[in-house]
Amino acid sequence: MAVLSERARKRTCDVALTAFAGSLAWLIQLTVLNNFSFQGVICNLPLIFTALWGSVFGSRLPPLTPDDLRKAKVREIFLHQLLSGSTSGALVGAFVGALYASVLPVYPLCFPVIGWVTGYFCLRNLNQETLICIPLVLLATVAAESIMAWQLWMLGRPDVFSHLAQIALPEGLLNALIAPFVYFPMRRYYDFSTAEEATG
Amino acid sequence: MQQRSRLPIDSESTAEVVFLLILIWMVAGPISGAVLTVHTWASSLFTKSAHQVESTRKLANEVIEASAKIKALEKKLADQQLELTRLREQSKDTDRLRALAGLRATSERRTIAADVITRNPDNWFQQITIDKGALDGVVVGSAVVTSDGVVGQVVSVSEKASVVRLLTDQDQKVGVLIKRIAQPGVLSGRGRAPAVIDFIPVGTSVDVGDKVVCLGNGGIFPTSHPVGVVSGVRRDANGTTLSIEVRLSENLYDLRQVVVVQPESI
Repeated sequence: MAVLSERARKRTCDVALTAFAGSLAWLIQLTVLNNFSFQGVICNLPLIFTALWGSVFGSRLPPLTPDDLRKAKVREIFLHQLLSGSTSGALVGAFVGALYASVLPVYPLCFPVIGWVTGYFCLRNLNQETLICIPLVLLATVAAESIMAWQLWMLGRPDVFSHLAQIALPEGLLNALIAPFVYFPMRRYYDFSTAEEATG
Repeated sequence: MQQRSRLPIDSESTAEVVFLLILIWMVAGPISGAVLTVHTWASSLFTKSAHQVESTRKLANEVIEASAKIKALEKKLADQQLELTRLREQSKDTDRLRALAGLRATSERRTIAADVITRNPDNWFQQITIDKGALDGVVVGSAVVTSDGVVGQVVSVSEKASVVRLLTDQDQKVGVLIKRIAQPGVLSGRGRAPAVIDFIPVGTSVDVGDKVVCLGNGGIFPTSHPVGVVSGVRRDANGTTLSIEVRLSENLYDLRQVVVVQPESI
């Protein structure tokens, strides 16, 4: 007599594996990547992980067909597009953001937003997707740091935007360089899990 | 006839000589071996004796030198004992005078040694995490220092770890004193750029190289603990006050061990 159904067991395994991968990214950041800096700026593996997770797993909502586009109102299309972010990306972002031992609670807002927003940019139907993830991560990093700067500005921290100008681009470049090495295995895992879902 | 009689005599002589040589060879071999053994033994005995004498002489010299050193150290210890006694008396006098003058008594503050576990993994905050927490007596607000200078302040404490905001963080402020001219000010962090003391009146004679120490009036940071050295003096944007750049004494990007100093109120 199984306590959990087959589907619930699989879902639990997926969540545990995701949490493990997120924690691993966090540990690699703390132990290895913290020691390498470019112009005094370090890269951010948890952010890369979140952005790419959102992009790879995408939205659960079905894409709009030409018929839908013909029949729907602009407001409905806009709403559909707005809601087609990545829920799993947002959850992964929330988990990774919670791992940050910051005194100011700014990460738990920034990371889920990035995870959700990158869900709009589903790369799996594109050619050369592994290369296209590079500009995506660059933009996601700049967006994430802008959200951080906005929050810190709201909290009254001085010189926030000059600091943003100093760190956003170097960090974005560093993250973009690392992105393909994260994207490739994540994409293979997505293929594996969807194939398993289809057969199971 | 004479020639006939010589030959046998010569043959006999030769045989005798040969026999004697063989005899000598047979006897001389063992004897020379014994002589060699004796010679080796005697030589080693001599060498050992010489070495013993040499080492004894060296030992005697070392004992004499050590004795002199011990005498010097004993004298130094006695002097320092006297100095300690004098300082204790002075400390008691100070406490008594402070009490008479109605000033707050200076107290011994507990210190906790800690290892740095990690740095904060982002580009916004300058923080480190240390391996001592509430169970070890760390409280929020404690100062964190090294022997070289001030490191920062504890801003968050869990049971077994604490987060320290470094002096380079833009949110961290410390009351400091420019020692040579006794000019107080508030030092703010600026990341990798030198820290800065703002709002120093124009005309203050601050020089590059002046030492900056903790003011310590708040009972958080230890009084007169080194903070850094003045590395630049410039007017602010309005030109009404001076902005003093300070190069910190401690390299906050390469920390291994730190000491947490509890606030005076604890």
